Amino acid sequence: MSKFSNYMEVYFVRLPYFFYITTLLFIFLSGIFFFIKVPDNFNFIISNHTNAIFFTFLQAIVATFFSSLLGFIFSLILYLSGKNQRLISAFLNFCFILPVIFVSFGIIFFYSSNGVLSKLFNLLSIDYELKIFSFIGIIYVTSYFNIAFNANFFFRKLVNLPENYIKILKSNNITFLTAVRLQFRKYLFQGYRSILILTLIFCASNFTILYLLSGSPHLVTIELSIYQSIIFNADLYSGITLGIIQLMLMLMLASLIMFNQTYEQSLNVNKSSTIMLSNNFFVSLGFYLIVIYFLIPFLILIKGLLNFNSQLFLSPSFINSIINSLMISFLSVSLAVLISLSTLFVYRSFLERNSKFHKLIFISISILLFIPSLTLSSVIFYLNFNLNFIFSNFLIVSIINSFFITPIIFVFLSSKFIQNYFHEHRHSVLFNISPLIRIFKIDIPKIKNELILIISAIFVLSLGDLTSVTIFNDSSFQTIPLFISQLYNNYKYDDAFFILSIFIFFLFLIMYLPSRLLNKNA
Amino acid sequence: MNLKLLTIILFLPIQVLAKEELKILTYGSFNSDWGPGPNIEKEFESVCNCNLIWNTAESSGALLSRMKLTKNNEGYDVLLGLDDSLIKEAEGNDLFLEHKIKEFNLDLDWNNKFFTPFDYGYFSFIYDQTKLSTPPQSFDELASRNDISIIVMDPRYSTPGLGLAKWIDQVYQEGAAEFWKNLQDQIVITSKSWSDGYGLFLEGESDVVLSYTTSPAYHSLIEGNSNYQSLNMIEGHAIQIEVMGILKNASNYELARNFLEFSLSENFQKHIPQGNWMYPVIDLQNSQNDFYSAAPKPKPLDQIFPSLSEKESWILNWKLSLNE
Repeated sequence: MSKFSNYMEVYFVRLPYFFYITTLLFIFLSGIFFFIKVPDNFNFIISNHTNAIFFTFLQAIVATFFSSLLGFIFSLILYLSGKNQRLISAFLNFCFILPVIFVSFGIIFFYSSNGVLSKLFNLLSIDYELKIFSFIGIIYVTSYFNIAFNANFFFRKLVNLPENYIKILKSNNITFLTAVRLQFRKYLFQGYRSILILTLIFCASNFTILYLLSGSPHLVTIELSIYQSIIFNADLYSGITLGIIQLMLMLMLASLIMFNQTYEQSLNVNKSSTIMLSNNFFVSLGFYLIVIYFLIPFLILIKGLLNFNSQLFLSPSFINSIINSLMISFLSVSLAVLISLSTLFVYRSFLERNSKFHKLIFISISILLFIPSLTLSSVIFYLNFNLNFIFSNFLIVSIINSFFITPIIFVFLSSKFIQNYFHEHRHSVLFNISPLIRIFKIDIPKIKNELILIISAIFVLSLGDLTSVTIFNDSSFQTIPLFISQLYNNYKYDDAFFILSIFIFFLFLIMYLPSRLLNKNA
Repeated sequence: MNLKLLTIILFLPIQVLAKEELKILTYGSFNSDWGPGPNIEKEFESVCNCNLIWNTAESSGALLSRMKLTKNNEGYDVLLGLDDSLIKEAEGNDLFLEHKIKEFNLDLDWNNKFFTPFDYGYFSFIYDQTKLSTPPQSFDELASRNDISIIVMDPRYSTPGLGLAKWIDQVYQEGAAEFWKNLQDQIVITSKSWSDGYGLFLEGESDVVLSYTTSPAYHSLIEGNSNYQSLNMIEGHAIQIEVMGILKNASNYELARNFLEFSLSENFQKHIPQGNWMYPVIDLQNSQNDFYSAAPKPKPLDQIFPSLSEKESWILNWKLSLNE
């Protein structure tokens, strides 16, 4: 193979990442030019937003703490329960990607002052005092997703513990928890910093949760202030300035977490282990409590299905919304997968050369996550406005979605993708394997299972997205979340719950089919 | 002969055959399947030989914001859905053309050269009469009844929320901030939007909710449930008027003007009561008797069209009560 064709192939594989970086630069430059033209009367008073800035980080840090701690504890209990590992992992994955409005309404349905729990307390003549429209409610719902996210990370690590380790532990009468504390801790937390940063980002960007559950006007985050500035005050400058403040503070926190990050692969195993404990009552109890905790929002499905409306189910608007949502998700996921694989390739090539630049690649791919979605949408809106609206809203929403899900794919696939990179690189050089052959014949088969799982997960995640659609909503491409919000705005609350329930079953199907496919191939 | 005809048809510019288009920007619920938009579209297209193209923004406030940002570079002809609290601000931004409609035979006083009204409503508090047997009849009584929990909307995010701030200002004027302080103890939820607040009320989260006097009509006429009623305040109820106007850069001024005239006719207005759940701007008591019976008009307060600073002072009164 000639050097030239090899070079061309490398360039071809890197092309999606270059496209991403160019778009990113274009967006940042637009933001800079936007501020060059700042009007004289623009007066940003930061003291008006100190409450929002403080509360954003307070609730994000508290929710991250609970998500991390409970995620770890839950993963241990789920692992020790010895139940079906694939099912547990798929369930945690599904809970993480559930639409925010579904979980929020589910929690309201269960915990509100007229909810299921309150009725149960009334039956037992116990006073019910919990206020879900408060700081507690915000932390509860924000943590729900991130506990699932964190628990899944630790759980997947635990199931990869080698069987021999477990046998040795048993033969030496060392309890599992002691082994975790003394031996496995380093392995379990390896690569966790990226997950912790993602958790912090997810907790800080909980716009919809705040919108629904901040029953008090004091509970305002930066994202809510951005929403007010852009949607109601037509003040893009303040909206973008607030976005930059959030970006800077998040980067500062993230850099503290990322300090001294290493990517060593100390314990790579393929043979999974199952720990069979003798029936431990507390583990069993813990297992069922965790399952109940995650199933609480699903109770609202009963309410939704009790309001079955076949006319609405078969209405052109509903079918149109489903098709539009699918099309947006399809385009977003396709773009995101291409960019992620290309970025992983670039990232690994730096690792192979022992270059520290791989950290820059990680920052470049994850930087958009630090920016509030509404701010990014506003900059793109401004850019499109200056280009005389040449890009359709459909394309813009798909691109924004793809940019937000790319880092998730990247983080999820990175450890498996770069696994054994040193040996693979040596063999590639030795046998003159071209970059394309390496991607298609070595990398993709290696990450196939993870790729299918993450594709189905992010497909569902972008189906339920509403944030960028808030700015780019357009009656010509109504999506399911917008359809639900229209029902809600027309007094049709029961129908909205019905559509939400149907939507969840639909999401379940999308998640379930790839799992079945993997089981068949396993 | 046939060949000649075919040649003419083939080479005829497509624009000659195409119908004129009228592009309207409105809020989402107006043009949903259950809103009045689809029926109005059919009615107007049957008389105009044109195509109505709808596009939507999230809310009434978002409509004006979008226009201020884009200066209508998107090329809409009509903006439908601003409310009276946004009229002065919209006029100040020089975004609209005069409609030149001279005569208004409306159910409410109207005289504005840029905007025509298409519906109106009165802010009110809604309660479930099976749960609240002795409803308060005045603001003072409402604030003194500590047994009554209330859901209101945040005036920074929601037009009904701003409407309540206006209502309290109209009733109490200098004493508005003091009244807000008295009311705060009973406010259990300050929601970001009307739909969220109203939904939570229906779930039983409060005894009363800020909404419109027309809300009970939906429950009565669609769900057959007459339990939901509107408080009848002796001080009177603040009005909200929704309007439309012709945008600068409108590609077809005449067609847009025809639409504004059409909006004041019965063929448009008959879709408002049970489509947008507001009062029509012309008197339809004879044909929509059910609606008017289910949503009797309350004692009205004066119409006011606030400036930006007036709105800010209403919000400030509300904010002051929060700091207590």
